[in-house]
Amino acid sequence: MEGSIAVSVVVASHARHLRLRWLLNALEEQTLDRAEWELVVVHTYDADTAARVLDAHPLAAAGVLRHIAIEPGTGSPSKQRNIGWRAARGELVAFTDDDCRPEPDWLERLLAAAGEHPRAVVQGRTRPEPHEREILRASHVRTLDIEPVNAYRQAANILYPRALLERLDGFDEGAIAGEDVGLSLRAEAAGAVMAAAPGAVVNHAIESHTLPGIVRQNLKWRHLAYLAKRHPEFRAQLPLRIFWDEHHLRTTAALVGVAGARRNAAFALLALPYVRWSLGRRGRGATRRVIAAAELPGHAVRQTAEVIGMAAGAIRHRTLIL
Amino acid sequence: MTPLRVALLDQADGGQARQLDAALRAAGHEPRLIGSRAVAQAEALLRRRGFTPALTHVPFATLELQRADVDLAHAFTAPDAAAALAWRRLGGGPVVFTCCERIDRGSVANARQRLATLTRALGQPDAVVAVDDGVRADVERWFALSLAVVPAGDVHAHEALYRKLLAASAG
Repeated sequence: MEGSIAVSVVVASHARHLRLRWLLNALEEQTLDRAEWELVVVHTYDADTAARVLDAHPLAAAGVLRHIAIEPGTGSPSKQRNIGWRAARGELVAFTDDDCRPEPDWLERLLAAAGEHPRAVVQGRTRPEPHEREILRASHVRTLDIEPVNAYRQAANILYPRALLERLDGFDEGAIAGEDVGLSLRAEAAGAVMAAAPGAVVNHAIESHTLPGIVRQNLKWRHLAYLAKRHPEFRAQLPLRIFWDEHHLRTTAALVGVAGARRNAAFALLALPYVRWSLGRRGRGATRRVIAAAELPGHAVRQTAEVIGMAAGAIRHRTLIL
Repeated sequence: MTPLRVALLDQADGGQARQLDAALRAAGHEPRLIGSRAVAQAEALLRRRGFTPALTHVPFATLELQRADVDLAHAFTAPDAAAALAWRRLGGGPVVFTCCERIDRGSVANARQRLATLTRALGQPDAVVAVDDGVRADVERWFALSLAVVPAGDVHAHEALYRKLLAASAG
């Protein structure tokens, strides 16, 4: 490695070149001296898009940005991040996603936290993009809201010592989803400490989807069964050690309730926690409850599809998780 | 030279369409301003649900374009471009979009349908230009697109652009 630097930012990007461009703009505003960091983007874009979005960006002209193109259709977050950190020059490697906007002092604060906790994995705060808050009114939205350190240690905002990544051989490329939590579990097993950097803030995009769109997108979570199989210790974090989260627990109970109610009406009581949560998810007040009630059928379809997807993953990987 | 029959759409009424309308008329062409008919109550409801402003006039503007006897539609806002693109899909002619608004991170995706409308307006018309250097720089920074600058009052540049697009669509 020639010319070692303090920290490398590694980003895997696919099919989100516009958001990637906005990420570059945010990184351009970092307060950390440019001599101390670099950016490595590993992407699947064609040459024209890469030239327009990446080569023409001021960070490329400043020598801070390097990018590595891989064949479209051959990438995955874990593979691309592995290519990125292996090409990086930093002693520390910070990961963020192409749909995120770090605050200007993000790297500076992440680096300060890493200085206070040498050899630790440092997780920053990820919050829904304040500029896009209006989009939360849509029925089906996707974003991230993380107070560090959380159970999932998402790669949207996390820093690893390069030496630790080398020792662990990076992300598990067999993992299609949950590769970030998998890496953190292996890091903990290897003795690494998890440290929080709540002041190192990344804003995560808020994107609205159609019902078919969000169902399609969430189907990838079926691959979390692979994670549960590889890391049984992670089950300690899961409700009843079986359900991915409380939503899946409520949804499964509601599905059992609806199915059982044909034989015995008392089964319908199992659906109550789901209905109660669904009607309250928009907050208090009559209008909010009416909106929540109108959204309930769509949400039920979405959650049911997720649970069925998880069941399919559980069968494939022969491990019980829903 | 035959006079150009151009529909000019500017729901925001920023003055650019009227300026170009006057300039084209003075040059002997037949521009037509397409007025907006936003449905105030529906618009307010959409705003409450987090949608980007000025969407309800789009179907009316499309209908008006269908009825108008024009060869080309020129939009000055992203929702107007959506109306013009719908008109093109229904068998209309070429579409030009002049981006007139300043864009930054705070405004580029701050409401439902905002980014989608803006992305389509910048990506799908037959020609896209910026009204000034500031807008050109914003579009380059946030969309990685290089636009030519054509001020609304530049009738010669618009005339050349329209004729080129009409010749291409006829060919």
